[in-house]
Amino acid sequence: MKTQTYRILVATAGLAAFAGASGALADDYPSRPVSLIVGFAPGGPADTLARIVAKEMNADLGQPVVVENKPGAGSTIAAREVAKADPDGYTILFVTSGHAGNFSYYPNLDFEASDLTGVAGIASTPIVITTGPDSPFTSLGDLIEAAKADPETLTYAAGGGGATLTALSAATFLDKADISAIPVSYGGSGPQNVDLMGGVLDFAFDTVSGSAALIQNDQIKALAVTSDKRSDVLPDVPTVTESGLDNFDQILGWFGMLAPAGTDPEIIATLNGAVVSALESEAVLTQLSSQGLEPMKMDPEEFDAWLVSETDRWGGLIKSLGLSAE
Amino acid sequence: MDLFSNLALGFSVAISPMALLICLLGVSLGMVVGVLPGLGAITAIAMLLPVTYYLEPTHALIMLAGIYYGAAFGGSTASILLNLPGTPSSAITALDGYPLGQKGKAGVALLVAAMSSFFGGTVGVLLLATVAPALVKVALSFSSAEYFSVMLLGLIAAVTLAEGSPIKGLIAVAIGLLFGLVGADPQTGSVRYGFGIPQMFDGFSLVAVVMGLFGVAEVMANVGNDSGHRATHRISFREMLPSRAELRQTIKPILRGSAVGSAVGILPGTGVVVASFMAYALEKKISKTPERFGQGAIEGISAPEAANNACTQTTFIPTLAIGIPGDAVTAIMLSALILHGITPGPTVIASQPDMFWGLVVSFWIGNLILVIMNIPLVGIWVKLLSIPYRLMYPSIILFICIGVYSVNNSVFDIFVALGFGLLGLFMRMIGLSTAPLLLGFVLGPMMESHFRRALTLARGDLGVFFDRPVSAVFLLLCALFVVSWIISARRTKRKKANAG
Repeated sequence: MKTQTYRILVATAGLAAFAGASGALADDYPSRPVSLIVGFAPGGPADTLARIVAKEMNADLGQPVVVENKPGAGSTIAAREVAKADPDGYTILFVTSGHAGNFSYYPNLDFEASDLTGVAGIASTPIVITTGPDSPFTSLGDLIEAAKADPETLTYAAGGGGATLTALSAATFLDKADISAIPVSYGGSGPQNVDLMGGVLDFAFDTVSGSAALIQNDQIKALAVTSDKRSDVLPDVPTVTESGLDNFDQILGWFGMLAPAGTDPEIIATLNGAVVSALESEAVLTQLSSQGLEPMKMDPEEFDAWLVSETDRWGGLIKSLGLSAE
Repeated sequence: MDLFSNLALGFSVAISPMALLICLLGVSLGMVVGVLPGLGAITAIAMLLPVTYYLEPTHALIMLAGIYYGAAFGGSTASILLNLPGTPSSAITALDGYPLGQKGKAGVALLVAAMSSFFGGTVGVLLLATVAPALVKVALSFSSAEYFSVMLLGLIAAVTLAEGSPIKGLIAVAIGLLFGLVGADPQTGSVRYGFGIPQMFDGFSLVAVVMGLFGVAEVMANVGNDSGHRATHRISFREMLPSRAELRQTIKPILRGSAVGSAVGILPGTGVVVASFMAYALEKKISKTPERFGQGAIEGISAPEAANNACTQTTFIPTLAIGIPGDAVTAIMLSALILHGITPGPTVIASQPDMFWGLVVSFWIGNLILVIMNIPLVGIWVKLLSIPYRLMYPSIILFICIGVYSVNNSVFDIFVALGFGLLGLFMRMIGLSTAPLLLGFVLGPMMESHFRRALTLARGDLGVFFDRPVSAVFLLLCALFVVSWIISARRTKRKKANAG
């Protein structure tokens, strides 16, 4: 009896040692399922996209990529978990553009941007400026003109309070157009679209994926998109620059993948390859285009550089606006 | 009127063997997670979401929706038998369901709950099938001012949920409002009462609060009290049947509950908890014998059960017709639709008639399956009571922990449930009801957002709440409520004075 217990113990210890060793080796990566941590609740646009991409990555990696939702505190709970995880490539993070501003918006985080390293870009989407179906505005020019004629009278919504990309886009737009309007806070695109349809709100900022369906059904009107080129799902909607604001730098919402700093570059390359091939698959492309997303194929270095420029841009704006969670 | 041809189309989709099987699977699973305290529809749907990628979209929705309303159906079972709500929306059913069970009428209570649920569900489905587009217009005409006034009425009604004096109810509501303040300020986004703990930045999880206040507190209150289990025997079908008088007592509450539930469901973002609590408060308010509530009044089961099932069905009206989810669960379903390449909106009904009508019919079939399945199960559920507490409670706590954890995959939430369990226990000891606290907690943050939003939109003019007719009517009702308290309080005082 005793020897048997002993044997089992030895076998288990051996297995554990083997598993530990294999985790560190890049050659046979991945040898077990990979956790993709998403900082948002199931059902939202981030979660939906993460699941689409994860499913396609399975095929390429030969191991399942399992989506785990750890929502809360603007996705910093999820980011912290990955930042503190073993850099073995089995715990990776799905991020949105909000991540870039988090380090400025949440002053008391116990981890830093440099604790995470870029794996791959996934997709991007412009912000769309919308108005109600019966609104007198037919172009962005109309809106700017009306706001200039009557400063501080028009109302606008840009998602919930805080430092969401929609709120930052609104601040940027108002600044570049040199107009002022009254912000009204909403929990998200759903409730603000209800008020646009009900005619109580003058204009709003939303991600294309949040509003595209309503725009296509003519339930709300789109005035402009914040990207340099028009969105494929809204080909009739001009860009902000086309609408006459030459000094406007494009704003994109984006999704990407990060890993703990110190992860073997070969593992990162493997993951990047899996994302890139997922972004080439027909299934993913159809899903992306139906939601107004464009694939954002980048190698890890390009994505890191993109992260740095986004962090500088939005971190700077958050500080100059004096926004802070605490 | 081509309603019949539409329904015929729906039937052809919904009674295909595969659709029936999926519907059965969905509602059964929903009922199981509904019965188990802590586990709810959100957990089950989030877990099954990946599975639905492999189903065709109509089937995926049939299954997810089945889990959703199946859970609303099953939630009452644990409330009635164990005084432990299976889901947040059935917390209110425990108030009268549990006392009825203690009087040996658990079978009647369960059957009335099942019948009321079925009726409420049917009303919701009928509205979805007939007047969905018109109702969407009504919902859109509700602005923040109306939302605020309706919710204020809900909050004032919550006070009547308390046993004993309204003052105690007010205290409980106020505690609930305070806990609702925790988290990001809806206007500025800065965190209130976060204490630097990131898990508190978005406020407390509803499931953790409900399971703590009602579940953990109930278990703690009964620990060491093993004599508590009631004599059980086989329940015959005859014993489950309510008496003719009881039946008569339930008809109007079921109708009123269905109406309240349907109305709440149409307003996106309000939620099932509000529906069932408001239906209960309404019954208690208009009852000639309000003192029976909390002691095992049959109306206290039928109204909220009809309401929460009507509400789960009408929640699909904004979800499908304008693509704006009614609550967290329908938000997940919406994303399943999008994943399948279907964009929700008013055109869904025209462009995907087989899906829409198939769903409508399948909802009704699902409700029918639930009621048929439940009748033989009532006997088995009641038998659960013969399990000694010392075996039952550890497993209940385990389920609560799993359920609370799985909503946000957060260990912190388990401690939140424990904390609210202690609070619930303390409130019982000093004779405060926990139900008003819950409604304060749910409504507080919504009311704050709507109040501030309405004021911003009106450029700070408080008159907006009185200028809009619908809002004014609700405020008037609020005032009537308060006046009726004062009058009845004076009357009791005079009676006491006369007696003394």
